[in-house]
This record gives sequence, C-alpha cells and structure tokens, in this order.
Amino acid sequence: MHRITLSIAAASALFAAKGHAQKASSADIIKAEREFYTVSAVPMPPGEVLEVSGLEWLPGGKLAVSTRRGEIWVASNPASEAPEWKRFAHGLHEPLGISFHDGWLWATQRPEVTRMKDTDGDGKADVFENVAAPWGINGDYHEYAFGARSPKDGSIWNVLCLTGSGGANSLFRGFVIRVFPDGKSEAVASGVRSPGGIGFAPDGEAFYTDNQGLWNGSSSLKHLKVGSFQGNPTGFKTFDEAAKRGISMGVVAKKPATPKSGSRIDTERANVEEFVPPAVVLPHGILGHSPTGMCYDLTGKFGPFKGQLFVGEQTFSNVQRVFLEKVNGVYQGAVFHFLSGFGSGNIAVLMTPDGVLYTGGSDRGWGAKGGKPFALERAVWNGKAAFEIHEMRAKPDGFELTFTQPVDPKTAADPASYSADAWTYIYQSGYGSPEVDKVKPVIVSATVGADGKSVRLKLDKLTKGHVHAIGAEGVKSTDGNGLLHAKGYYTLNEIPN
Amino acid sequence: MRLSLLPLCVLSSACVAFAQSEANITIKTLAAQMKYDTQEFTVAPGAKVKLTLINDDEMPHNLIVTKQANDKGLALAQTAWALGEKGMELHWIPKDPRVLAATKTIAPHGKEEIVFTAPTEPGDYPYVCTFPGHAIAMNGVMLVRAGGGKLGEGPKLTEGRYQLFLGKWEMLPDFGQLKPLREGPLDENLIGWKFDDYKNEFGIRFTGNLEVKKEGDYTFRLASDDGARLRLNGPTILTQDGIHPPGTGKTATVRLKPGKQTVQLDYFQAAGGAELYLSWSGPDFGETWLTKTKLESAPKKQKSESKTGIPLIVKDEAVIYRNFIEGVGARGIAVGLPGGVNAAFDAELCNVALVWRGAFMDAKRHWTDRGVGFQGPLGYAVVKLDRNVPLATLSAPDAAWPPAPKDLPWGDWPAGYRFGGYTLDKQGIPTFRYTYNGVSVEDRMQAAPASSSHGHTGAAMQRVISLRSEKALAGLYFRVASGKRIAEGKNGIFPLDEGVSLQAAGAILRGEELLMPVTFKDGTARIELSYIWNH
Repeated sequence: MHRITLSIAAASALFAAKGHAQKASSADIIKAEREFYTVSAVPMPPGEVLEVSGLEWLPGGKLAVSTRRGEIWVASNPASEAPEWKRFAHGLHEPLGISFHDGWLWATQRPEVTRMKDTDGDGKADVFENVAAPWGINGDYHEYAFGARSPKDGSIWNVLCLTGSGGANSLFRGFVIRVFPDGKSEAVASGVRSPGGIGFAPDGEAFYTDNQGLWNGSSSLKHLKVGSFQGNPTGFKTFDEAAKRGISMGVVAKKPATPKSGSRIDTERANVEEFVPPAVVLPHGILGHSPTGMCYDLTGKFGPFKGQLFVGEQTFSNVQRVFLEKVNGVYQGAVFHFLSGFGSGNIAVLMTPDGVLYTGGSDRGWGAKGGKPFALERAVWNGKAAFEIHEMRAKPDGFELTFTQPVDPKTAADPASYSADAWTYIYQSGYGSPEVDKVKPVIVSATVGADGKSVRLKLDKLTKGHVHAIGAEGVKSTDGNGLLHAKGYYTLNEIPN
Repeated sequence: MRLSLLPLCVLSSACVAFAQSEANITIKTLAAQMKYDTQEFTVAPGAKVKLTLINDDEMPHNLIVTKQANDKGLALAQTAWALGEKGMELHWIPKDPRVLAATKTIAPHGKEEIVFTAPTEPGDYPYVCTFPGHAIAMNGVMLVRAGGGKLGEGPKLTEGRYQLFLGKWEMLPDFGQLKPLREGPLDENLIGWKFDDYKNEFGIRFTGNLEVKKEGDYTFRLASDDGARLRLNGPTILTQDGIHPPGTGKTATVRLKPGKQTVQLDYFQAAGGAELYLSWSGPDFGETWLTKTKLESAPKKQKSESKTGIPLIVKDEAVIYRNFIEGVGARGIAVGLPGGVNAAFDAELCNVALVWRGAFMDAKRHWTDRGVGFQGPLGYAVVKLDRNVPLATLSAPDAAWPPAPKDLPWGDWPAGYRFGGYTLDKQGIPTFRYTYNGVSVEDRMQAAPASSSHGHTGAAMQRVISLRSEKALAGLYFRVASGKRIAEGKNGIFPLDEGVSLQAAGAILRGEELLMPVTFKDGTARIELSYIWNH
C-alpha cells in the first residue's frame, strides 16, 4: 500500500506540470493508471489480421468483433487466456459498427445497413439482408460510414463521412441517417465532417465524434439532436441533388444558413438556427488527434464513473472519460485523460454488462502511438478508486468539482491549488485551428462542500463558448494523494443562470 | 574509419568492372494466382545467371527464358502447347531456337536452379511458364542492360525547399497552420538541415518533386527520430509520428504513373537524437537516398504483403469480397467460386458485371494503408458483362432497353429495383436476391464441368436466375449480354469474346443485344446461362 501511494504521488507530481506537454512522463502515467485498471491483450486467432472496427456483446457472454477487412469474429470466452474464436462472417465492406438485436447481427457497411444471421447453427452467418442503402458512395476511401443502434427504437444511426477531407461527391455525405428495422430510413442531421464513432446516451440521445479538420478547429464530441446542423456545410450539396431527384430530406428538409468562415462557433450559433455546438471539445493535441467510438458505463462496476462516457482515441491510443450535463437545453461537459498506452489505434469501445471495457482498432492509414498494426484489449477495474476529478459542473460564476475521494480541506480550499485557462478555436473552412482568444481566468475562491468531496470554484470571469481547462494540481485527498489526472477540459457552450 | 575504407571501395568496384558479372535470381510462383512473384529482373550482358525457381503453387509450373520478343513469350508458349500429349514428358519445353534456358516441370512446393549465360546483346528477353493456359498471366522479362545486374541510382528531388518551425511537440503538428521561422531552398536538393542554433524543439516541412519516367511500383522508406510523415501527391503514405528512435524505418509501395510527383515530408525533433532518412526505389533503379545521410545496415526486405499482395485464395468454399471493384462499381460484391471461376455482382444495378477465370482478388489495395481506389480481378480471361439493369419491361419487342443510370453516387438508382442481399449455401456460395417491380429474383453462379478440346482445359460457369411473381408481367425481358461483340449463335450458344462463348437457350439476338423473354409458369420463371471459356 505504501509503495502504491508513493508511485501515484510521484506520477501526480509529473502530471501537475503546467502546460499541455506531458513529455517523458507517459510511461509513468501508464504505470500510475494501471494501479487501478488492468489492461490486457485479448489473444486473437493466430495468423489472422483483426483490425478491430466494431464490438458487440452477444448473449451468452460472447464478444463479436468486426474488422476493417470485412470479417466478423466471435469469441465465446473472451476473458479467458485462450478465447475460442470462430469466424461468423467475411466479405463485408469495412463494417464500422455492429449490434445484436432481435436475433440478427446488424452491421453498417460502407454501402448499406445489413443484418445477418446463422440459420443452420454452424456458427457462420448464412443470410445477409440489405436492410437499407439510403446513401450514396462513389469509391472514395474516405466515405466511411459508422453505425450504432438506438436503444429506444432499434434504429441504426449511421454517420456518414464526407468524400475525401473536404468534398461531398455522393448523396448524404456529411449527414446522419437512421435506418429503422423495417428498412425505412430518414436523415436526422447535417454538418458532419469526418466521424470516428457514434453512440447513445442512457437517455437515448445520440452522440458522435468528429475529427479536427475543415470547419473543425478541434476534434469534439457532438450531440446528434434530431434536425441539427453539426457545423460543416460541405455536405449541403445533397440538398440540391436530393431535390432534383425527389429524394426526401425529412426532418432536415430546411437547408441551414451557411455559417461564416473565420468566425467562432458561439457567434455562428446565433446565425444558424439548427447549429448544435460540440458538446465537449476534445482539445486537439492535448487529448488526442482522432477520437473514435464510445460507450457509457451503466454498471457502476468500472470504477466510480457510473453514467459517464468513455471515448476512444486512435492516434494517441487512449481512452478518455467524459462527464456530460445539460445547461439551458444544450449538452456540454468536461473531458479528462483516463487510460493510455493501448496497443494500437483504438476505434471501437464497448462496456460489457459486467463493467469490463473492451477496446480495439488499427493504425492503418493514419498511425497510432501504440505501435501495433492492430489490437484488441480489455480494461478491468481493480476495485480501488483512483483520486480523480469525478464531475465538473458549470455554475453561474465558476465550476463545481466533485472528487472520487474526500479532499484534504486545506489544499482543496486554497485557490492556489488550482489552475485555469480558457480558449476557443477559429471556426473556419480551412483545416483545424490554433487555440485562440486565450483568457486567463483567476480563481477567486475555492469552497469545500459539506460532503467533503466537492469544491465550488469561483472564477473572476467565464467566457461563453470557450474551453475551460481547470486543473486541481495542488489538491490532495484526505489520504494525502495527488490527483491521477489533474485537469478537466470543460466546453462552456452555455453559462447557467 | 570512413577514410580508411574509402580506398578499398574504389579498388573493389574497379575489380568488378573487369570480372564477368554474376547474377543470382530467385523467382517464386504465387499460390493460386497464376503468376511469378517477379515480373522483371536486370542482368549485365554476358552475365552468369543463376536462376532459382521456387514453386509455391498447388500446380506444376516451369520457366523458359526466350530470345528477344515483345509478346511476353506467348508465341513460344503456343509452340509448347502444340506438343500435345508429348508435352508432359518434355516438360513443355519445345525443341526451338527461341529457348535460351529452361527449368523442368517443377512439382508443387519443389524448386530447381539453372545456370546460364545472359546474351551479350542488350534487350528484353521474356520468360514464361509454358504449361497450357498459364502463359497469358505467368510471364516476365529479363532485361539485359549494360551495367546491369545491379540497379543504379534513381532521380533525386528537384525544387527542394524547407520551412523551419519552432515548437515543443509530442506529435507532428499541422505545419500548414503555423508560421515558419524561416524557409529556403535545400542544399543540393537533399533533405537535411544544419541549424547550429536549433538542436531541440523544432520542426521542418520539406517539399520537392520527384520525376517518374516509367509506370510501376515505387517503394519509399522513411525512418526518423522523432516523428515524420511523408505525403506523396497529397495523401499520406508513411507515418512515423511521435517520439522515438529511427529504427529500421517503415516502407510503403505505391504505383506511380510517369510525370512529376510532389513530395511533402514533415518532421519534428523534440529532444535527444535527431535523424531523418528517406529513400525511394523503383522498377529501374535501386534504393536512392533523398536525405543527406543514408540509413545504413537496415534490412532491405519488405513486408511480404506489400511485395506479393494479399491474394484471396479460394479452396473448397466460396470467398466473398465486397469492395470498390474496377469494372463493377462502389457497391461491388466479388465471389471466388470453388472450381477456378469468379464473378462480381453490382449491388446497385443488381446484375453480374464481370466473370473471370483463375485467381480471385488481390486485397492489398484495400487492406493496406488507406485502401484507395478500385481493384480489378486478379485472374485472367475477364469477361465484361452489362453495367446496366438485368430486367426491363418493354412496351414492344423493339422498344429500347432503359439507359444505364448515370449518376449512381448521387442517387440515380435504377427505378423499381431493390437489392435484397444474399444467402450462402453449405459451400458458402451466395445466391443474390433482389426485387424488380414486385418480381422476386435470385441469381446464383457456380463452376460447371468444362468441356475439353484439343487437350486444353477450358472452364465454365453456370448462372441460374430464378424469378417469382404474384402477377403476370407482360413484356418482361432479361438482357443476357450487349455490345458489338455478340454474334448469331447456334444451338443457343453465342460467341461472346475471343475464346469465350455464352450458352443461353431461348435468347433472341436483337441488334447488339441478347434478350431472354421471361415467361412465368405458376408464378415462377427460370433462366439458365453458361459462360464457357473454350480453352
């Protein structure tokens, strides 16, 4: 116990260093994180290439894995040292999202939503049905389609990447289309650039990750409100092409106003009625470069984070943690570093009913820190809670931080224990953006709550629309530990009244 | 150290110039692809050539080096095929002055080494497998070139420039968003730097052009400390991002057409060692360094997948490959059938677009790097069928067939059609399903026993289209084939392409279209077709 405390304290001191760079300490960070979560590789079928692109938990505790090479494999005992693998299907077109429902395995392939089934019990799918193919593809490698199943009505929501980085040369590129089990489909949102994954919150609302690039100053987690515009107008070409052909645009029939390049999201929100701002910016270069799949923990068995969201990251080979809240009807919240050092570029993330997080992916085409061409891993909570910022809520004059453990009242009540930085990004048709409009808020006061686990921070000013990076580098737990990850990055779309 | 070695190098290269050149060449056959792994090698005139053929395939092959010709050795192969019954015992080697050197028949997983003297006259000398039917795809060329046997240096960069940036990064930033501290041309067009003032925490964007003279596969090798990323003509082809030592580098092979290729190499240095190496090699030159310094003692061997491709091998069960398929479209579904025949279905037009023989598909294009572009069949004797809908209701027997949809990506999908998917039988053979205006259609292909003629083995594929309809549809036709190539047939067999015919009993030739009237009996109709490769 003593040894553990020491190593965490040492690592925390490293993280507490100001600025974004956590150079040379990544091995220490991984080591410290692994005191609380065991990350282990899932043995894969020998000789096979499983560039994991989708994960689903099947009845009977089996794990289904889709791959970028178009296969679906099922492990009947994925937690064992020698999982028994069986190839369920092959020949699919880069499926990016699978789900099991109503006796069928549903997959979003590049060209369509497909459902498949093994009808003769040999463990291999023998019926492949096209549920719907409502979007266009032209053969461009960038026209990815990520899918996830809505827990509300079983519809598969498909988030459709643009053609290339900045074009739209096929129908519904840059849109989100939901496909109902009966094959009916409808567009539900526009303004997508380059998605990396899609998922659903417990309340049934859909979220997806979009990668930094044109009209995306930074990567972010976005709320797919039905009828919304997500910020990138490149896909607007579909409005004209669909009209020519009498193709229904449903709830997104009204073409949003075109936003002004070089502006700020908070400004353009006022000009574009349908614009839903990114719920949580995942600051580019700090949290990662390429966010991907996501899952919620609803089990409470994956540490003290029940109800929070876990988001994969391909380039940095990480998994991040997100706390969301709704302020003035808009989703927003904070992202925290969570677990790093995965083997390859994480694409899919899954939480099992037992609270085990599976993640896997590949580095193909873009590279990943992990270094392996593909990997599948699981993270299991060791039962011991790390000292972390648990939640970060916006308040009219600051933030309320809750911690996973009781805080030392002395350090927690000292404003000098905290840091605050705020910035935003240029909202522009060009690629990415530097951090701009930087603000240095002053922590005016820090008041420890009656529960001993929360702290109310009062800042001299809040800037609407800015990412607020709030660090609690000097706060200790009552056990004397520093935070495992000292900073949260809160996107302040709305300031509560 | 370097100085003391220098005289030795000079001496040894001088010696080589006077000795007879030697060349050790190893060629492998690729499993189930009807191909050699090497389509070209270069030797010096008069060189002593030691050639080893390793047969990794499941069928026997040989290799004959021929005199200069531009026919990939096909004429000689045809002479060999004419040996008929005697061919086997003669190892399919005809007594013919065109034969320069030949291996015997090599059984599966066998090998043979032959030694011969290369011609003194520079030129292109084809080599070929003379087993009946193999030569069409299984060939290559021995290039006899002065100074050959060892490939020389290739072109260097032109118009090389650099931009220097300062910053502290763990991963490559987007230099395009940053302002360079300074910029300028590269010394001698070689990638490198000499910044006495910056040893740590800087980044450089190098740009320049490479001239390609000959279409072919070019391999780039990148090694760096710390991160680097190579873009060629726009897209990233190699990434070594993050903080790390150079290692032996990563390679990427790309097919390039003649012309100017733009190169953009981003690099950053955090702290500690700072190294950057980039080379390229091509069909007619060896590894050529584009950086000031070479990466020494690195293994030259490439990853086997990038060299040989990722052939999808069909054995007892059908193999499906759904992807962007050349000659089919973005919604292609290729099927490799047991028995050596293949088909590709277009799930947008609900029709078979291609059938072919031999090897199925090479997945390398789509399963490595970003998977850019369309991939065509790996096999041979590819027959291009209609890229249009299979069924139409015609108002009159001479009414025009509906034109092919123009803009599929934008939703000009064929009216009345809906692709339904497919089912697999015990052998994994798919039956494609679709509906057309209330008619349920199934389309299934399988290998059929081939007829044999003149001792040459042909192949055949049977295709059965089953239709069901609640109501009678007047004027419903299935278009079997179209185009100038179709000729009047006999006994329901129509010549299609050279060496390929189509069996379609009951089909009617209407100008350049072969149409099959669909008549329902008890609500069902059935169309049987066969694609026959005659030899």
